[in-house]
Amino acid sequence: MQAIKALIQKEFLIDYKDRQVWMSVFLYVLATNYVVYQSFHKVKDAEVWNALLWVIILFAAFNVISRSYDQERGDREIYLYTLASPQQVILAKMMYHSIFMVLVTFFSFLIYSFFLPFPSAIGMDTGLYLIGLIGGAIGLSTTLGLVSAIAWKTKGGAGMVAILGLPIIIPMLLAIIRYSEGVLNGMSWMVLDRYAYSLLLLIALGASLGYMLFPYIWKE
Amino acid sequence: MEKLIRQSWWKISGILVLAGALLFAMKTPLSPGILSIEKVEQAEQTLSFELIGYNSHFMTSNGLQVWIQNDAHSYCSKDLEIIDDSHLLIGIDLPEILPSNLFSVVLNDDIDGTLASLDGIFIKGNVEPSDGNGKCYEQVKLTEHGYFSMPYRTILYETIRNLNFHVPMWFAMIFLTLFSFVTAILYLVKSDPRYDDMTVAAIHVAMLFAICGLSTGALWARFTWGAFWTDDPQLNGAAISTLIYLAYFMLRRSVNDPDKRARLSAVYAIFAFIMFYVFLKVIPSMAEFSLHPDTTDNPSFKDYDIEGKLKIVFRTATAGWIILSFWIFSLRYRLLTIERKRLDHE
Amino acid sequence: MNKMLLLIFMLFFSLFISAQGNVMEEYMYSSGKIWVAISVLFLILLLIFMYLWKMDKKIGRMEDEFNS
Repeated sequence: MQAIKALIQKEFLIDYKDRQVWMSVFLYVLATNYVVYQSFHKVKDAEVWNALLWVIILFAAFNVISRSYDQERGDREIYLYTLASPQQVILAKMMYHSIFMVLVTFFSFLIYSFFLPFPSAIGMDTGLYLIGLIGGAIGLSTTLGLVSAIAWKTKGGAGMVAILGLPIIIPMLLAIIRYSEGVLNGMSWMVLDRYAYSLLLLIALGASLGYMLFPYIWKE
Repeated sequence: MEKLIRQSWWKISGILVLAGALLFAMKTPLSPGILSIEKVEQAEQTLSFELIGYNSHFMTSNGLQVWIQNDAHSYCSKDLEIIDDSHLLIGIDLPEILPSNLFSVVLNDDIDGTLASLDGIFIKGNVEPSDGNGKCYEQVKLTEHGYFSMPYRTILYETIRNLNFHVPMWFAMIFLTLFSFVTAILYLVKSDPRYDDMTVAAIHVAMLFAICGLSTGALWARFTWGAFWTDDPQLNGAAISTLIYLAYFMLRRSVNDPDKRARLSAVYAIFAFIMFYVFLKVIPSMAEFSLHPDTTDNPSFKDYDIEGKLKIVFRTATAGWIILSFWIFSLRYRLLTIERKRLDHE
Repeated sequence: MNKMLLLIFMLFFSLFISAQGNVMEEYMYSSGKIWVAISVLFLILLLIFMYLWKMDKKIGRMEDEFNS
């Protein structure tokens, strides 16, 4: 447990030292939101509003997680082998990315609502919507965690993460979008629980498969 | 396993099983059913309509009776005119107050058995849910038709025969991907390159069957649901699973070192199979609406296949297709083995 | 040779496809015509089987040549 905390701290410090990574992600989010605003100006439908938001967050997630193994090239890779077990590494990475993705998601949501106002409906439960945002962010980061680990070992780079990751992300994204759309339309938990459960199932699967399979990617 | 792959007894028997099952599938007639109710005319207290049957034997049967029914209320036909084997003209006396506006039309004779068109006729009139005074149903003796036939289903009609093509192809794909899952795990445990060859060959052939399954499904959908593709959870799951396995080949192509390639693709194959199973079976069972049979509220084929005749043909056909898929897989695997041995010797 | 046979069979089959107006009428084909569909299906199955069999023998020969 200590090792995991230390690894998360290491990830954070590496990114902090070179804050350019964070800046580029936030700039990307800002630019995408602005482009969407200019293209649409006003979104009347709650469904379209929600879907656009999640597409932006999806691409931000790809942006973030493609870079996750950039630091682990060459000598640093070997050094990391001696430091911690593979399970600890993958758990630390997933946790760090979950936290970071939650922040990026909220940031994106705020900027998006700033340009295109939040369509609140009667009987809408804002708390459920925010939980949806958090759940979606965690889901994206855990699933893409394993995929980016596989892509790390190939020479494909960010393109590889997209090719491997997109088919796997689609059902999860569908569950998230349907859930959020339902919340925006004021539907009750009784109807929406199926989407929340599928999301939880996918997160659990992604995390556990990553945990079990990462050691085989790890060894040289 | 290597020795089994080279033998021909299972290949020939597989083809024979498949050929036999498909012959049965195409040749067995469809059960009789009520195709439509036409020319409904209602005048005061009498109702008349034309009943068109499918594969029915109205002229040669005995004891032909027709009535309309809603729950416990039934009203028998007063006039029954047989035009030919599949056309009937019916006249019914209606009471003044009806128990409901929507009735099912039921037909019974000794060759066709009991046929029904559920909620097939809409009658205008005053409705008062009451005891009703129509009880002619109890005087009728219901029979089953005696010959081997496929179930008759609205929407599908004759295309139900496709059940012996489309579904077994998906079963073959599931079998092969399960096989690849097992060999991928075995590769990670034992590091024997043969298992990597098996995984690749299995996924290759699984993709072939997935494409066949998707195209047969699309054609079937065009003729029954009206469109090649719909927003159905199982279709989405199938398409995404095909994409996942196609990405597997992209992954293999991007790594040069054979050991690393085998290891990474084994990891991805394991991940892909679990996701494939979840997307194809688990997520659609949680969906709200689907057109596919046997999901959400739709009745499965089992509900209509009372005597279990469809099941026999279907299971035989599935076995035949799976054996065929395994044969194609074995050929591919042997080719890969030869290539690997040739590389090793150089 | 095989392709010619397949072509002839397909042309033969196409003689039975006429422009059906009413959807209902399509369902009511006479059971005699089902033999056309069955024979086309069996021809295709036979071709697949022959191709696979040929491949099987060829690979068997390659393996024996390699092992000796």
